Amino acid sequence: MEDNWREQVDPDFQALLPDFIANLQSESARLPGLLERAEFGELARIGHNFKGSTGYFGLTELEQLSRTLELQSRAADKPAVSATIDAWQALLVRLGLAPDR
Amino acid sequence: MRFSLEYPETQFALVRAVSPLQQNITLKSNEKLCIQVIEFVTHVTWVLETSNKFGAKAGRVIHNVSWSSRHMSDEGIGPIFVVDDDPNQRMILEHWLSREGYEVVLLESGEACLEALGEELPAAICLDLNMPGFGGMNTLEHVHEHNPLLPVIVLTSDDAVDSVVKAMRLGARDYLTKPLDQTKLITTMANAVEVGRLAMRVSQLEREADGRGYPGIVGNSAPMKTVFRQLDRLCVSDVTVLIHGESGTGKELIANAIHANGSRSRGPFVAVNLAAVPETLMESELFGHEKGAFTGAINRRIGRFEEANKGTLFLDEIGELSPQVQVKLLRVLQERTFQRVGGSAKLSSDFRLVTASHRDLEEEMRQGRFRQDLYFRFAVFELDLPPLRMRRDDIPALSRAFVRQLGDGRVENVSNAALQIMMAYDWPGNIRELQNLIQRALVVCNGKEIQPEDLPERMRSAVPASIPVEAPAEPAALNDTTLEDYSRRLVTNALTKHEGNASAAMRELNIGRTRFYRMLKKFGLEGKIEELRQVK
Repeated sequence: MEDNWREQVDPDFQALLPDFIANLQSESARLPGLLERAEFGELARIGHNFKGSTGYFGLTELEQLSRTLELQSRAADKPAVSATIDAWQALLVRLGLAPDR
Repeated sequence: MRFSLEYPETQFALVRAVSPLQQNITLKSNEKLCIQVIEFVTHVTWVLETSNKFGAKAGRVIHNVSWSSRHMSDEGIGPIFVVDDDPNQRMILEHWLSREGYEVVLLESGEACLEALGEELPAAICLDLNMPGFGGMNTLEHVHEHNPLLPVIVLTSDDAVDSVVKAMRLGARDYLTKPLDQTKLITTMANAVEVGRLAMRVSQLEREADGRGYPGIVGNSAPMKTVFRQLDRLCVSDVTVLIHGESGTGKELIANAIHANGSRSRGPFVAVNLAAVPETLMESELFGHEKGAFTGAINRRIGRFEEANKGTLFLDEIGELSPQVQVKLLRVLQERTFQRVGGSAKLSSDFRLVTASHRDLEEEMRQGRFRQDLYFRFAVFELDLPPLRMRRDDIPALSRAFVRQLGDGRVENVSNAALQIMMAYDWPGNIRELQNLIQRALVVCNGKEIQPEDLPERMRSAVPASIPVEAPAEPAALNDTTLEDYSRRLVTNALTKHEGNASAAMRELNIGRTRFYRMLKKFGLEGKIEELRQVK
């Protein structure tokens, strides 16, 4: 389960968690704007990068979403990307990673 | 003669480490060199079992070594460049690699990597293939263009087989897929670093075997061994170098050696003595001028920067630059573009920069005479050339080299008596002064060896009184063995005269503490001080 994912993160990576979360939050905050401007290249890059790094922290669901985001962005499939971003943001809320407003 | 090397399957790391050697061994046709190479670069004693098979000589390595993490070699290695646009990947790689003892430099783009390569030679590069801008593949191509020996490990996602194949064809050492596996990363990195180190070492030994080495640079003293070690590293990188050294120490020779043995050796070596260029002509000299740019500019002329394209630009005596020229030079080095005087086109040139100065530039900075920002542009790698008085042991070899080089064969050598005087002299003009002295002595010398009387009076009178300037009484004292005997006698006499007082003996012999104690050890006189003190 990813609900208690923080405890399950490899002890080796606990020290890196704050920086990872900060990166994740700042990049996630950019997603809606990028979609609005149809910057699919940048969206694909973000998907690609998180696809490669979320796995270290046991965030398998987010890893899958990253993979999907990358593929859909490469195809410039705006509706699909929009749905994925919604799912992404919802997942962050569920994981307690949504940035404070 | 062909050598094939066989290893146990389990020592895959070793196989990979030595595989580049195998190619060189095959090429070299020199069994002794091959064995020396292997022994030298692996730091283990190898036993080669040889046999004749199929008309070719095959060698089997039967030494069973355990693969240790030798990346922390005593010689010290460069950092690992981690090049990835993803801050999380950079962070994780830094975390794992730094824990293994590597120094890690984090770079977020290919452009940043190429810029950093101009400033530092890494031990290996971890390069993400999928990056915006210049991209990983272009970066890899550029890296290998300038330093084919530098190991690059490419990072890629698990679904990018085509990219991996292309990267390997472009010279990548290995590849890793994301998410990375820590153990695999560490093993791959250790192998890559070791392979890079071996390849550079082999390249150096090949240079020596081919007689390339550093022609014209004579020296076997401890300070020169340090210089040669530094040169070995500089020749496999494109780093900017600042050579410090007193006048006459051979700075241009060193700069030329860096060029001739580096990846730009096919390009031009352009040397500019800035002290000899009038300030009014400096811009035109360095950047060129267009026709009619100023009175007398009757033709277009390309400057030294353009001339050095694809090669090495050596700027000597940078300490002599006026503040105005320093500003201009800094701007050009920062922007990497320049314009000919009177021209409007922005030009660029791809050259390696080597600079030199006889001045203490740090002191010049403190005094406000030299710009700090320019200094740091120049002083990416600083190489100190020792003055001749700090490498007196090299004087006999240097003198003989000059006799051979400058003479017509009539004079064959320098007598030991003359060498004694020369070794006691301080050589304020360094090697240039020695060269001039030999040239002069060759003219006045009547015999086959340069004698004390062939040396200038000022030199003979500068020698401490304890050193007899007459030729040694015994004719047998005219060979190297006797020179040692002679030196031993001088040291013994000095110690005896001062009743075991080492400092007084050093002063009399006009030599430093390190050299003095090295001589005591060499001549078996270590107990002499105590012995003489007891007598006292």
